[in-house]
Amino acid sequence: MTRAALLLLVAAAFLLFGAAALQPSFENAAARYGFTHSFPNGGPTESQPTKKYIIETTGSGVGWIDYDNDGYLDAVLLSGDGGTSRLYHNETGRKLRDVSAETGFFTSGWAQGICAGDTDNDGFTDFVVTHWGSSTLFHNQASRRFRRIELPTGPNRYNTGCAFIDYDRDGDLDLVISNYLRFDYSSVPLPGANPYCFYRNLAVNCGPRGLDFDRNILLRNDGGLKFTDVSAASGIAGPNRNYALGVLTGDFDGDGWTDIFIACDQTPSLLYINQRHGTFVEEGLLRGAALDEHGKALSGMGAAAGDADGDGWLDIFRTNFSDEYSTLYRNRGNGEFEDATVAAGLSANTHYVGWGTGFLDFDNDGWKDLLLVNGHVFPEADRLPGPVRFRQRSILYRNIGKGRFADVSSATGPGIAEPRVARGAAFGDFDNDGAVDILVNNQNEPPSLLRLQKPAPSNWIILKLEGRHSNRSALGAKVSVTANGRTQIDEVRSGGSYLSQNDLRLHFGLGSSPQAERIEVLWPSGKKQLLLGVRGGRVLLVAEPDDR
Amino acid sequence: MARQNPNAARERFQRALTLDPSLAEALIALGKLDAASGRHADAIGHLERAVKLRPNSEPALYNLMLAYRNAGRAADARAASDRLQKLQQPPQGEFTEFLKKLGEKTPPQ
Repeated sequence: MTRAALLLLVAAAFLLFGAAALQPSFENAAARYGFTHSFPNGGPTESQPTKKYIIETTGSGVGWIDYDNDGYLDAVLLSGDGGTSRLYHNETGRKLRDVSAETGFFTSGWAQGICAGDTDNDGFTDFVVTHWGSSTLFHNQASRRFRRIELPTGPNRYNTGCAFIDYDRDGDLDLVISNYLRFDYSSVPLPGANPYCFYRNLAVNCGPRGLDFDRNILLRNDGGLKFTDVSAASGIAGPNRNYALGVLTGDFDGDGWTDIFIACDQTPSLLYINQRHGTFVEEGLLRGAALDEHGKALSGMGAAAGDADGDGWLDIFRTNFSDEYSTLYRNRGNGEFEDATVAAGLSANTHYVGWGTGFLDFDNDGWKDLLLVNGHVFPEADRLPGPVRFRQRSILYRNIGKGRFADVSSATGPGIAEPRVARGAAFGDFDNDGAVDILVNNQNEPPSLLRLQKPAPSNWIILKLEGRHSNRSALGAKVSVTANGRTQIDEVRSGGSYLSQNDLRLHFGLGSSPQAERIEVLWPSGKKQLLLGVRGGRVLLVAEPDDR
Repeated sequence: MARQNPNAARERFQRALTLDPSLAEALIALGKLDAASGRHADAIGHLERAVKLRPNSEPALYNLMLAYRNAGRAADARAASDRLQKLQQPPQGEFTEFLKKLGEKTPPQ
């Protein structure tokens, strides 16, 4: 072998090894950080080999919420019947400690969704837990205790997703809650009872098809921690032929008023466009965000918003059922969408039932990637031939630029590869190292904490927004960050993913640039704020200026 | 093929239509190809023909609605949307009706 050939071989080996070493790798670090408790969610268990009722299938959400303002994200994990939900305090990114008893946080029954926001603008983040039965506001008493306030959602509702939203821009936070269907044990048939209770010739729990619909709810914040049901007057209750799950908010048409997208199971998804005077009009179908490209309603579960193609408009990604692919709705501008799933390279995975999902820039290159967590609703799937299984791995798509994605699941570590029966997933940087961590609520198992073993070498910045004239949580604030000549956008939002609460702070990858050249904030109050030459690698508090 | 080589795809769909002018699937595919390349009038022409052939075709109505919308024909888009909505939504109480037809009662718990 000549010296030149030897050098070439060494260079090739270095390149290959180097590339592998740089490939980000997710581990499941849950046990190491204190998440060892399992959260029950119906079958299968030793005493109950399967899921008898649909209430056991929808699972529960999870939240990253800094309830004590110490700069570290605390965690809330919700439980199905037979367990209690828990609040964990983040001990400066080293450990998470169960503080449920000392803070008075307690739930029982079938907890479903969680969403956060400072309802009374006192500087402490409150949160809502939705249930089959009712929904509860946990009012944060200066981070010492939580006071329970029952919300007027009506009795025996199957409340699922939720999000705080200042829909009337009066500076206080209102609340939207989705409802899945009408459920009670006495009227829902048992597995195999009728044709709606079969999956590929196997008797399974019944629904949602065949079960009665319900309507969605909007509660207006009247101050003093009092809420009024304005669902009918606002137009939210209008569509009532949808099995509604994940709630996602965003100003999709760019008019400065927050809209609401709701992922719906086996029925068209809903897009409520804010009419600016306290009402909404549902236009999901007309705007191209309800169906797939064949005009078919899919089984929507969770949803995420992000600018996938860098055109300055929020796109929507929705997770669906097996034998379908999750859908990317590209925003063509002004809130008019088209199904761009195939063109984006996201249509190959059809064996998964997707739930929690989020746009995250895991490699900090300035393009939003996508992660979704999965798990089937029928344990019986394991008895079938073929690739569909009850426990399923996560899927990670890397954004390779301009809205094209590559499936990198098999090369991004053991945390992604672990098969689970996952439901809610919350995205946030719990240890402030610049890498977004994902907390996943798994049914009948401890949660997963998907954490990069080594953060990407690229730069980043996290922005924590604090409203003064706008709502204190800055929900609805729009941020654009320019670095390396590219501008990224995002909004502060409550809820999202699947019945979960992501970090209220916004994370941006800056690529090779050590700073953001320009950060612009458009506050819900209408105030614009400009920051220039902002150093990255840190969490930056951005308070709304006092002058109007 | 339609996305990677739209011209070749267009040619094949047109040939299929020559063989069978009532092939709604080919008209829908042509409509989608035209829509993707911004040829709104052509897209609408193909899709209107498809809807005429198959009035209850969800893909035809859906893509026609989007084509109207993209062409700025809001009223036509809304009318197509209303028709599609009726096709999409099963009636409330569908299950109860279904049980009645079968003469069944809710199974005991």
